[in-house]
Amino acid sequence: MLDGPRTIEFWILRACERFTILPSDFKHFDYPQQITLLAYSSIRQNEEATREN
Amino acid sequence: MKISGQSLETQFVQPFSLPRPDGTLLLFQLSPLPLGFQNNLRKCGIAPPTAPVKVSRDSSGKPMRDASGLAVTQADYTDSNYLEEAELYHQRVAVLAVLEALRNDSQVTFEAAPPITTNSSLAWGSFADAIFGELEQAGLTAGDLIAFCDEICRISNMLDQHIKESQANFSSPLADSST
Repeated sequence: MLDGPRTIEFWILRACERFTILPSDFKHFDYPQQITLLAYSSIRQNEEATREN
Repeated sequence: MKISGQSLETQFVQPFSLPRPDGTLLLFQLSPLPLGFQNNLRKCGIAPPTAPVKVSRDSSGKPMRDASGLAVTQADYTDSNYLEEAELYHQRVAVLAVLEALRNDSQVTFEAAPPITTNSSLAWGSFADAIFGELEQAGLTAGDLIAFCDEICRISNMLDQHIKESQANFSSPLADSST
């Protein structure tokens, strides 16, 4: 497993996985929608990681 | 819906002023490019040109061959047609980036309408050229286009900050415990 900081490509796929969106569809959202999805996905990931620990 | 002229939805709009030779300023509202903008351009057929290939020759002018006897080739980045196409490609990308970044600026309108069909390099290329013509007609120079692109790059690289701003929308402000 790679330990380096995740790239934006990772966060986009992570958000797509969570919202069951095709990565190609993500690119059709406008910028505020993309940012909202990434922000929500990031918060949820932190919450899940906290719960697991 | 707007409250006090402010939209509730975060648009990440950034004011941008372009100085004119007479000392006045043109004011614009720029928005960051959406993630995948470059990808969308490619789908519209706006793709970088490929350099033509030429046969490599040795000092005596003979074609060079590899171990299997095949002619060694190399991309010719000095080909005048290729250079013209590359220049036009960069101009079109710059123009379409400016157009995209101005999408939330209601003060700016263009006469040319975007093609209905996607994946038509001819239609999208002509559209970009028409917008470029309108920018030129409005008195904008190549330097102005670069200034636009520099600012668009800057605001499009503020992803981390924008995500933090957006994350704040998911939490209520903490109640003041001092009272």
